[in-house]
Amino acid sequence: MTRRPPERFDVIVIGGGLTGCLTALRLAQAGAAVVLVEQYDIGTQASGRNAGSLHGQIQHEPFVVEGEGWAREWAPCLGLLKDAIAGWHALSDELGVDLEVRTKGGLLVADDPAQMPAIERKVALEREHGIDSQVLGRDELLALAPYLDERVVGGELCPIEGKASPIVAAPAIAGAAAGAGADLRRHTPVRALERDGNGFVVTTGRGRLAARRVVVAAGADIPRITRMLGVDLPVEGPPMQVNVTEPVEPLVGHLVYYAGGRLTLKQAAAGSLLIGGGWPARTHPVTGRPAVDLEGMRRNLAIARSVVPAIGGARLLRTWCGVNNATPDQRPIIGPVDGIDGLVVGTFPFLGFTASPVMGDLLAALALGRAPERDLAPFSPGRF
Amino acid sequence: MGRRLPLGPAIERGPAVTITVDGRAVRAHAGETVAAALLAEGVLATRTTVGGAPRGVFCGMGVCFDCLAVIDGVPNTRTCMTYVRDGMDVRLQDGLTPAGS
Ligand SMILES: Cc1cc2nc3c(=O)[nH]c(=O)nc-3n(C[C@H](O)[C@H](O)[C@H](O)COP(=O)(O)OP(=O)(O)OC[C@H]3O[C@@H](n4cnc5c(N)ncnc54)[C@H](O)[C@@H]3O)c2cc1C
Ligand code: FES
Repeated sequence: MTRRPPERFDVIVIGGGLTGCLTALRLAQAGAAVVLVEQYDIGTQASGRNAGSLHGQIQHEPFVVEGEGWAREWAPCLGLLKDAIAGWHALSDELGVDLEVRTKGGLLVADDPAQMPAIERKVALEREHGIDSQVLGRDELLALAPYLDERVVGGELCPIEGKASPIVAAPAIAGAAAGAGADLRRHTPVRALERDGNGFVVTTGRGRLAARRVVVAAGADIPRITRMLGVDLPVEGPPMQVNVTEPVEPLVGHLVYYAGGRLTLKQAAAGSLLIGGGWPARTHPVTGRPAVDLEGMRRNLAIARSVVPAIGGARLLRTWCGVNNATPDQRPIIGPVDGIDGLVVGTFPFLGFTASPVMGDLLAALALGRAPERDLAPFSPGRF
Repeated sequence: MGRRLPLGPAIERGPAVTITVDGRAVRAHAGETVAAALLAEGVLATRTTVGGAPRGVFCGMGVCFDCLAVIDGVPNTRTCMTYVRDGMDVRLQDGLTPAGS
């Protein structure tokens, strides 16, 4: 019995999150014949379940827990995130869709003077890397954000930070990619990935595809795909949760973080308050899918309320969860895989919603065999 | 009041009650939700979004939070999950309300 020959493309993109869709968009715009395969529907995993924060600062918790040495190695991410936030503004214009990108700035709030020295060192490091963040005293902070609790003692302003809408973004970007000529295949899980001459053959639940180049943008599932070619990458998928309240009148203008515990708090354009900050979800014992951790939910909400008391008047609507993508050093993995010509991988851990516009540009360039201007050495898949 | 099914062997209706909708007296029946009473009155939109778009009953089972109204002074109340009560005050909701109102 002869098998049907595989359908041929220039590039196969595996994974239909924001990373994959933006890669496919840029490849199609560059004139490449590109097919994207997604096991579920487009944008339904991390890219459709995140909190929509646009992050531009070094995250406070790892700065304190992992230390300044870690932060110096991580710092090359700052320039990437800054460009990515600019990319979000540009995307709204390019797609002609309001992606609800608002960047009024991020505030890291301290309520204990002992928290300030670390914030000062963090701001200094960010400034070294071209981020215009500033240390704020108590009065400056309260003048900017009168909704904060009186107990605050100071903090940081990172002016480029803000939010965008994941609910609007994923379908709008997928639609643009399809419009540019990318072939998006939903409900098409990758079952096997093999070398074939100097290219690849991908076996999916719906037929075989062949291409000279493959981009693996499968988020937390990247190792499962690369292992098919004998490549082990330390990407993990921690389950996490986010809370959303009923819509209320404008209350919180910034992206608010807290130096004394895990918190991100902001208000969506529709008026709902989104409360998260990397709180772990449980893994459901039967389904194996993420499930809400009630105790974490209560602690997360208590922290949010202690920082912005007025949100206590808003009722919680729901808490949802998703699988995030993580790497051991919290730096992204971006680049060709050594020894496997034509294989490119890309994932930005924890902050991948923010990073996705730059991720799409970089992965598309790499798949076209172009060397991007950005120094990708700190993000090399070969560093582990 | 032409939008209720006619009574029959399988259809019973609770005692009549009166609620007010934006100050207007509306007859309803105990056991009906506010959403049902509004639909029977021909009121499809219970509120508008922040952008001014109309919203009304969508899922009918408490999940979508589209059917909100101000009920007895409490905004963002799901009309599909709230039973009518004699004297209940229902106000169609316009855009956002302050937290804790
Ligand atoms: C609860 C939560 C909150 C978050 N909040 C924020 C935030 O506020 N700001 C921020 O910047 N980031 C946030 N993140 C992180 C962000 O969502 C992710 O980093 C980002 O969405 C990753 O995008 P991606 O396209 O790389 O991966 P994904 O969106 O996970 O897409 C990968 C896709 O690959 C598909 N796939 C996997 N295996 C296969 C296969 N074998 N065949 C075919 N398809 C396959 C998957 O189904 C999936 O759709 C959050 C994440 C979570 C979970
Ligand atoms: S109609 Fe969906 S919650 Fe009431």
